[in-house]
Amino acid sequence: MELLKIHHEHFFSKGIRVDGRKFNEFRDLLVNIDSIETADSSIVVKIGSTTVMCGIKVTLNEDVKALESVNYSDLIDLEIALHPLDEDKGEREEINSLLVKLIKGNVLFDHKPLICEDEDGERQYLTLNIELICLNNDGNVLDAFIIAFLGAINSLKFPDYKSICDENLHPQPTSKPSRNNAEYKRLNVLKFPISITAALMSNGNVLVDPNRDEEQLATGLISIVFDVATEKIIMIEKQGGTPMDDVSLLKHISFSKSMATKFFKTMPILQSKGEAMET
Amino acid sequence: MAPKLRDLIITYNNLANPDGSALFCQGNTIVQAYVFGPVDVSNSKERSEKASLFVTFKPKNSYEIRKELYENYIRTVLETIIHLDMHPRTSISVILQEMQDDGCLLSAAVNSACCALLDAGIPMKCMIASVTSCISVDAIQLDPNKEASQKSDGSIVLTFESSKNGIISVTSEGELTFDNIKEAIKLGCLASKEIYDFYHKSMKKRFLINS
Repeated sequence: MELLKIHHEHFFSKGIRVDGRKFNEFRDLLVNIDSIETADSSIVVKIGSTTVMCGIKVTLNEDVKALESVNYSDLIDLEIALHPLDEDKGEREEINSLLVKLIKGNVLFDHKPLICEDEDGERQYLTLNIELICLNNDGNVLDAFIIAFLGAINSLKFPDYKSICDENLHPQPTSKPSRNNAEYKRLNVLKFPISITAALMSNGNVLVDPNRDEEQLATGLISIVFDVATEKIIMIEKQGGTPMDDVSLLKHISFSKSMATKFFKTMPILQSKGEAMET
Repeated sequence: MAPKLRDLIITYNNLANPDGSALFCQGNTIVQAYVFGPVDVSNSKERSEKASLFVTFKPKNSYEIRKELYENYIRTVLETIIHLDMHPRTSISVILQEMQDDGCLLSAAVNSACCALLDAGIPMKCMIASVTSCISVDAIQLDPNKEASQKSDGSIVLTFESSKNGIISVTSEGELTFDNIKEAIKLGCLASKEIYDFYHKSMKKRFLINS
């Protein structure tokens, strides 16, 4: 640990990081849409060698019928899995609860298409089963998860209630082809969350998009999630670490804001779906 | 107008068994904090270079509050201010029991943890003061009660340290703009000074009565 610190600090004194990046530089982003055949929408996101996957499957939901009023958060079933081989220092629960807070606590998309009526006029509800899986943790998993979620929800296409119901009654050997003829619905995404995480080092440096080594050396992390559509801050989380005075904190927020907008523009998710594209 | 916090009341050392305890009231929000430590720790949790810190938050009803978020927030704050390296191979546990919630529960929990640590005599680098601000469309309100915080659009919890008045931790809920945060920090800075004054006064009072 001590050696690692000396090694890193040698580079920091020259204004660069060990992997050759500047302090405010992101790693390469690689996105692959529709990697899983059986899911309604899926995405693999790589930031450097951090790899996460997000899959969404739309299913019928019988449980919420009993509820008096159905809210946005009742229609989301979120499951987050970090790699079981990964060492755990309490960050597992932390990332888990942060993502639940972000995705369920904010209305990120219009959930009306998930509520439909059948022939008898009875209300039927569909649930989004969202699964976020971390395949390789090389730091900054939170940002990768949020990009994956945004990408998956944005490319989600699901058939209407009837064909899902039919499929449940007469299961087909492969689920994809049977849905080809049905009319697809899309969700209207209201907010585009982009998160910028930075590591605070003991000597006052702030490193954007830290990798695993840098995360371990850091005294604390600061994550800011922006909604790119309205340019508002949805979530700001600084947990422990070197105290920042108000001037440097505000400077970091405004810097992250410009970073998030820039980052969002380069994201291939919104352009077209299909092959992987590298930025 | 100067920012106004609700009335702060504290009783130190109100429990017999723990090494330090404090019953902290911020308006109608009441948190009981108690500290055990530094004491022996089981082998698996022992760390050779510093003390292990455990924070437990006990809500009144567990389904309403995201307990892990609170525990994480408080643990990371306390890890930065306690001199953990002075007691290697031991454990310090901080337990926070919610007694009554009338808004700003997280802030009250952080402040009460600081008081209980002071009471237990755990060496710390500085003191901490946590302030919650509620943001609605037209105004920003410091230290709101439950009714006001439910009406507002968003809230931000800031934790300051006393040596340079730097910001240790921030957490937020709801949508905020850059100006909201700027203003919340300005208000919080002033309010935190008020809390430090309160700590000083209450500590003086405690030792004058007991001696």
